Amino acid sequence: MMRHQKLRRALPLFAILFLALLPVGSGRADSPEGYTFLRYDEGLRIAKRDGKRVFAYFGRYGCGYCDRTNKESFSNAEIRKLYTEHYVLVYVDAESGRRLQLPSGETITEMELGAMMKTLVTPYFLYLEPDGQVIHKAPGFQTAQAFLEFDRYIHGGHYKKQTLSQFLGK
Amino acid sequence: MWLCGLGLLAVPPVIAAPWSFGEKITVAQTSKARTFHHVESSGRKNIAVSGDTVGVIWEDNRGGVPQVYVAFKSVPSSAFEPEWRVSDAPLRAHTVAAYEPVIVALGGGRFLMGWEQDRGVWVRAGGPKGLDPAVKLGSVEAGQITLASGARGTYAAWAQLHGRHRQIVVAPITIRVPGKAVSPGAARPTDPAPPVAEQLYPTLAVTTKGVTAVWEDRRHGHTVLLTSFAEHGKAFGAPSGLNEVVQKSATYGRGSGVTRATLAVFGGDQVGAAWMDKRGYSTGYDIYGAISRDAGRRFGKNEIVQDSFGENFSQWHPAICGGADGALAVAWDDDRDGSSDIQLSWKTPDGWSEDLAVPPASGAGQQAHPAIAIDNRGNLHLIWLDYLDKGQPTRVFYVMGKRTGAR
Repeated sequence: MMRHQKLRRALPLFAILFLALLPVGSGRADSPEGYTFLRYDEGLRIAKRDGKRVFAYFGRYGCGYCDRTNKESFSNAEIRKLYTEHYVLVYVDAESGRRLQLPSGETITEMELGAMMKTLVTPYFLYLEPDGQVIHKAPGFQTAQAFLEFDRYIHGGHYKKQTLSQFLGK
Repeated sequence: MWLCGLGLLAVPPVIAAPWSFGEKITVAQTSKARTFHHVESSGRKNIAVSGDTVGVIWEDNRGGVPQVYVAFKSVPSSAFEPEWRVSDAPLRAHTVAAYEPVIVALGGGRFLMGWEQDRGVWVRAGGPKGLDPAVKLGSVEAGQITLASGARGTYAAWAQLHGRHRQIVVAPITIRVPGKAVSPGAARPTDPAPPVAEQLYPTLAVTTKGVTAVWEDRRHGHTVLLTSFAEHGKAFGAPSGLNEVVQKSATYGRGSGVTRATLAVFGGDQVGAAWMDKRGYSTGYDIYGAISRDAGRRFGKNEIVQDSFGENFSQWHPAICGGADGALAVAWDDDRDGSSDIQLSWKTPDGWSEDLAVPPASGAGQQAHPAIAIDNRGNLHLIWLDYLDKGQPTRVFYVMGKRTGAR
């Protein structure tokens, strides 16, 4: 039993190590520095296990507004702290052919996940329940202030009773 | 009278389509839970017509592991024959996932099929009477295979590891008598220079003059479509850009997104290209295209394929096909009518036609992932994936569009 618990605790570390060892040529677009973004399917498994919500970042190789979001918003130390603590972070290259397995058992590419989620633009941010249900969608560039407000709305559970506009008093 | 005029304005314009579509026919379906079909390949060549035989190839996980299947029917028949499992070559093949299958016509009711399995790419010929032995192409890790055939030869292209990056290579495939495995020739890179970044998702066209390749290339810090040409039996020349690059910000990023190109030969030695292009600002991908009038050596300016109404929606999964009579058509899916439908546009003397929601491939539910082919009588053959909603059971449907006199 103890061994299993240790193994389960170690799995995310293995996952991170595995991702770090992937060849540069695996075709990933860039996720922001200073964060640990996992593969979508790996992240969903961990989220379900730990009962943690998911923050999904759909980017694209060479995407200008992803670059801007990374530099202007994700560089914010408070966002880094809150998002790392509150969410399982997953990154999807919305033009990649890398395969992932959905909770339904279906195997699709990262690009098909983007098509399925109707991610019209990049970046595109999704907040998900631990079981993968979509809570909130935020398409396009988002300011640091917006990310902080989204976090208060999602992590505080306010989305269960209010729309984002109601929550923000708009 | 005035009200009558208003009423007429509200009716969508009637398009004189070059094809009249019949009833849809089921290619593959299952009632088994958690079984999913996929019509997906590099270049989207999942249907072909060889003589009087239609061949359709797809992947599904009916046995728990994704495998590739092919089904055939004669053009006049109202049903497909029972399918063959294509991806049975590697040791314990049923446990090794197979993906992204492709099929092209060889003539006389025979076909060449390709797919990805066991970290490599495979080809085999066959038809309604059976499948010939499979052959693995290359000796390194590879995927994203595509095929093309023409009067002067049949070729395969795929992405294989070359150092740290994948590189697109092309090999001629010699077809032998039924029952014998095909014989692949030497693979040559589509760019003589070694890859300095990822090269992905190739598509090919074979003309009487040579072979045209188009692929996704990340060497410039963003994805561009590159094209290069080789005369039959010779090496590819230096590549050139296919898509016109739009830089949306002077400070951030390097260019708009482009992805999943597809090529087809039409009207003798002309080549049409189509792809998903994100140069627009807020509505996701549009379908753009370009035409080569010199047998695939060079392409003309980029053209937007879908109509102005479609520009307000995101387009996905473009497939292109051409006919000897000069017909050139592009199919894709978008949800302009509230759910995903198959849309079709074709080249006219005045440019690309208005979009047609293909009657049996539109309406309630989701219809997506089209693949198309034109036979030697000018009829258009279409397959697509049908499902009620994401995560729901999938089916593969087929319909033939009979050639009308319209252009």
